[in-house]
Amino acid sequence: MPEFLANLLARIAFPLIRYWILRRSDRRLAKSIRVMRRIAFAFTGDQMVLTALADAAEIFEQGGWGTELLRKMVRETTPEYAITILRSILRKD
Amino acid sequence: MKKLDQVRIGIIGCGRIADLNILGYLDHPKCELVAVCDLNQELAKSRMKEWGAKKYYTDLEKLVSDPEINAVEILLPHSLHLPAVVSAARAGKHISLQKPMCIELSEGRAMVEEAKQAGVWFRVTENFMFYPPYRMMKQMLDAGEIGDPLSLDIKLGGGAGGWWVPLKTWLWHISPEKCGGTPAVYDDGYHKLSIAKFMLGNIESVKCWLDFTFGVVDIPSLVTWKHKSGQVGVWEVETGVNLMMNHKYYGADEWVEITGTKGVLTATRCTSRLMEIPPLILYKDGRHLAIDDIRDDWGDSFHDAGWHFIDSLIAGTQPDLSGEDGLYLMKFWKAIWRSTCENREVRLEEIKEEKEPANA
Repeated sequence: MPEFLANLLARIAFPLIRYWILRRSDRRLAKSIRVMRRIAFAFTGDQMVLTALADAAEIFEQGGWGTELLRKMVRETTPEYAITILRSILRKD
Repeated sequence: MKKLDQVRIGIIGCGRIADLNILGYLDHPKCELVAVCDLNQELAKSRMKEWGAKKYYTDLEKLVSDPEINAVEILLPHSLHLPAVVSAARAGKHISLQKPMCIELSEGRAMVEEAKQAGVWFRVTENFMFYPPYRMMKQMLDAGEIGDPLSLDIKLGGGAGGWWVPLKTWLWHISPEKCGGTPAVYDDGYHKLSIAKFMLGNIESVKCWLDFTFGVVDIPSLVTWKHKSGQVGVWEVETGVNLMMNHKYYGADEWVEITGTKGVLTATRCTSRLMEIPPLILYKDGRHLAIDDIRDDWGDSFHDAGWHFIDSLIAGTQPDLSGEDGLYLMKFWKAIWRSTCENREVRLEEIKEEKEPANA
């Protein structure tokens, strides 16, 4: 993905992901991730995306310490750092 | 302790790192892989087929009570180490336990006692000590190639990429309760602390500064220490999210340098290949000697660690990295954490084995 596009998507995606993770319940998040997984796989065909999102959905289905930790990380990360990571993931060949 | 004619091993925990820990067991002529065990039945089955094991289990107790097995490799989350070691020791199996040893020092002591009472060999595996360039570095150091050592510098550079590790695995690694410490300086750092001890011996005191990214990942950090024999050590930990690593394994690489009174030894890589230069360089008498005819893949260190365990059981001798060594490295970590929390130099002798109150 070209850098400018990855950058733009990361900037748009970060506040949405942050809002979504901090405001939604574990169960609703798990459901949404399952839906997203199907859509993302249809677009990318990437097995790693499929596995990663299945993992994420399972974590939110289980709830407890795992989701607490994820929320703590999302709460404490700086937007600059998170955007850099997202951009890096999106640009990954 | 009795020598073994053949080691018949069982692998407990079939996750990502097992891909490397298995290497030495698969090609050692005196080792037979009997069984694998994982809670995830699908994974256990696929590992059994992949590695050519005879059987698989999903229950640890069943594996350790298998009479065909005489040794186990334990590759479980840290919080499960104590019950697994106790079960294996009581079943009379020799034990290789993946680092770090435990959450609390008292647990580590319990493991050492259980193994002693059961009359089984016990080691806490740490692969860096078996990385061929580090082994050669140590040999050259001991041979006096750089004179008397003065200092040890370790630099850990983390970057983007790396092989696939399930999110759930990352998550327990960064959970202080599940991991027993921080992900960089404690979990991965155990290797570097082990190398410091391996190269220059026991530690007198430490002084550190740990910063946190995302509130839980201890990067960037700086750990400094003084060896009992007088040398100083420093370990710098940082990561660059856009620094793409030339890797086969994790997106990180290490640079280890020992300065002596008449030369410098530099190991230029370990986990990855950040730079395409010889893995070991000796500088002395105004010249560089590049050593590039040694195995330098990170996987080789796991392979050799496995072989060492098997060779030790066959010879009837204590494998390197005994339980006491594991406990020592845990004390090194505890001193680092205390130094960070209390912002002062901490001597290792201050660290006691009794359970301490939770840190702030």
